[in-house]
Parts: sequence; C-alpha cells; structure tokens
Amino acid sequence: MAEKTVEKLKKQIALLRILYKEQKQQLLRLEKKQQEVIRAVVRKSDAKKIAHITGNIQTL
Amino acid sequence: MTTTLEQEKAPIAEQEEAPETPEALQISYDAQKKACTIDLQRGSDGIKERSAQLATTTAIEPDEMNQLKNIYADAEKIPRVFEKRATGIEAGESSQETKEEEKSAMKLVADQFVKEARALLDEQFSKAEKNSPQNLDFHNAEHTNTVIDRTAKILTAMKNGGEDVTDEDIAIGKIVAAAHDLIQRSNVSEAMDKGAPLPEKRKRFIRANERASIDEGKKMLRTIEAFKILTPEKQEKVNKALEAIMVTVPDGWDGKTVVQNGLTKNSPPIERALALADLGDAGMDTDSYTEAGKRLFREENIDMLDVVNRFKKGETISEEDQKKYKDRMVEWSKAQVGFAKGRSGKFSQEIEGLSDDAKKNVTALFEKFRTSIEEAENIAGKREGMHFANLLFDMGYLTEEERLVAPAEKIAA
Repeated sequence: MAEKTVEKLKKQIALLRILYKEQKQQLLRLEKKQQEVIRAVVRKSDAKKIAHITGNIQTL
Repeated sequence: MTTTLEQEKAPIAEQEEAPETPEALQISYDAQKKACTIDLQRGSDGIKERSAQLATTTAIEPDEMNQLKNIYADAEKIPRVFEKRATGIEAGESSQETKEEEKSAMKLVADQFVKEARALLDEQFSKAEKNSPQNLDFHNAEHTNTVIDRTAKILTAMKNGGEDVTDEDIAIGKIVAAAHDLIQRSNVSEAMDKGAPLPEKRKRFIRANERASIDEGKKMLRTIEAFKILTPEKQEKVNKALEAIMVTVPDGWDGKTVVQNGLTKNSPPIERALALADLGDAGMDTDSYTEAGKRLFREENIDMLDVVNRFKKGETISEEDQKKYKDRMVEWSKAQVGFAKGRSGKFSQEIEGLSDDAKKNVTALFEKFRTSIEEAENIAGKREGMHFANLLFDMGYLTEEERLVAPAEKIAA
C-alpha cells in the first residue's frame, strides 16, 4: 500500500514539475511580448523628443 | 537591477531528492507546489505591474494598448491555471490537462535523453586531442545530432503525407536517433584497452555496436526523471522503439554503397526514418556529404594519423609513403561518387511501402543526390592533382596554418 502511495506521489511531483515548467514558459513568452511593446513605445517616444528638439532649434 | 524571469532560478530546480516515504514525499510535494505557486504569482505580478505602468505613457497607441491588455489578462490567468491543474493532478484526474502533461512528458524525455546522449558521445569520442585514435571524427555527437534532426524531419514528412505518425512518435524517433551510435567499439579501442599495437584500419564492431547502443539507451532512459512518470505502456513503447537501431546495421554492400538489409517496405515509420537519416547525407545535404566523406576516411585510416603527426613535426615523409597515402585518399574520394550514386539508386526502393503523399514529402527532403554526385566528382578530380600537403589539408588533417608552414618542397606540385 505504502509502495503504491510512494509511486503515486512520485508521479504527482513529476507532473507538477512539468506543469510548472510549462506555465513558466508561458510567462517568459508573455514577458518577451511585453518587451517588444516597451521597445516600440520607447522608440516612438525618443523620435518625438528628437522631433521636438529639432523644432526648437529651427525656431531659434 | 531588475532581473527578467529568465534570469531567475526555478524554485523546483533547487529541490533536493526527498527520502522515499509517503510522508516525506507529501511534504516535498507541498513545498514544491508552494514554491512554484509563489514564483508564478511573482512573475505574473511583475508583468501586470509593467503593463499598468506602460499604459499610462502618452506615446502608447490603441493597438499597443490592446496588446498590453491581452498580456495583462494572460499573465493574470497563469497562477490560476497552475492551481487548477495541480489540483487535478492531486485528484489523479485523467483529464485532458493531465494527458497534456503526459504528452509533454514524452517531449521532456526526448529533450533530456538527447542532452545526455550528446554529453556521453562528447566525453567518449571528442575529448582527446586532434588526430588521436581515441577520437571518432565521424561517429561523434555531431553525426548523432544530424541524425536526430533528420529523423524528426522525415517522420514529420511522413506524418504530413498521411502515414500513421504522431507527435509522440516524433519525440520517440529523436530518442532512438540519439541512441543509435552510443557505443562504438572497434579493433582500435580493443587494441588500446590491451595496450597492443594499433591496426592499420579501424574496423567497427558492426551489429555488436548497435546491440550495445540499444542496451545503453535503455539504461540511460531509466536515469531520466521524466521517463519515470510515463505509463508502463509508454515506457515499453520507447524501449521497444529502441530496437529500431538494428536497422542501421550496414550489413550489405552492393558494390557501390552500403545496404541496410533490415530496411524493408514493411518497416515501421521510426525504423525507416532512422535508416534513411543515418545514410541521408548524399540525398539531404551536399556540404554535409562532402564533410562526412573526409571524416569517415580520417576515422577509419588509423595508420594515417602517425604519418600526419610526423609531417606536422616537420619530419620528411618518403616519396613511397606519400604516394601510398595519396593513392588511398584519392581512391576514397572517387568511391564517394559511386557511394552517392548508389544511395540515389536505392532511394526509391527504400521508401517503398509509404503512401504516395508520404513518398512525395520524403522525396522532397532528398533532392540533393545530383549535386552531391557532381560535387564528389569535382572534388575527386581536384584531389588527384594535389600535392601531399594540400591533400592532407583538403582531407581535414591539417589546419591552414599547418599547411602554410610545411616546407615548400612538400607543397609544390
């Protein structure tokens, strides 16, 4: 009986590890996607600043 | 400094093996579950927080805002999904999700097995210094890697052509390919073990090596953690699949090329894919075929190593020896033409038994026969006119630098 319980728990632990790895991968994918959005926003924000500065120089 | 999720250590990786009593395992399970839950929750919170911050910036466009909302919602779900599915695992539910975990387990077994097999091959056959008889220039981790990739590609082509091949079979195919050359004994390793003089040519112990590789593969599987959670039926399926390695025994020769007599029109998919992949260079990749030809020559012609090492030390190699070894390298290069032609001629027979669509798909992977034959003809022609040092360089024995420092009379044609 104890042997069966041990087997069951070992399988449970192994399945938990696989489940965790899978969900962690999902998080990593989401983080990567988020980084892409951040980079796009930062690029645009820099472009706006540059345009603003260029505009100021031209009015001088 | 902010760390990304990737940089963080996984909490379960640090867990030590618990003693195998129900109580200790239950404690270990609970602790691991808690650590995983906290880790996933923290990761999810970080993503949500960054999304919320970014949403307040003025530069954000509606499209990007939508993307952020989706990322936020998906991140929020992850700890909940983990909790729900972990509860399912605890209840021993054979739910769709649990089946998914088991399906992932086979992929995990394949990934871990491939890693272990590579490490073993590197340790055994690539560790010694260059031009050492201990090394195997061809039957090493690189060849195995190529066979793994090709086996997977061929099985996928069969699957897409309507053959009875599942994703699980593809994962098993990778395991079998990773194991196919694990053991490489020969008259050379035997002589080295006994401290006896080395033979002129390496003769691998064909059939015994394949048998031993199957046994080693089965042994290695038992050490893979994910293998232990497969059902006994699945474990048996993988063990049985390893027997496919016997099909790679090159037990025939038709005068031009190797024949794998075990490959028939009734061969199961994994067996057929492995056999085709193992001898796939000429049909699948001309550069690889050219390189493999040189490597196999170096691996087999053990007596050449002494000549090469003497040459590198600046010793003079007699005209007679130069001619003897040059003739051998040129003959080998010419035989490469015949080998590719032979492979090309055998191909249609080797895919006999597949459906028309599968044949079409697999044939599309083997479209390089003509270029491999032309390239082999071209190389053999060039080598015939080469001086000894240049030929050694062309066969991969010398580096460019070593060739350049060779005395002029050894290079001049």
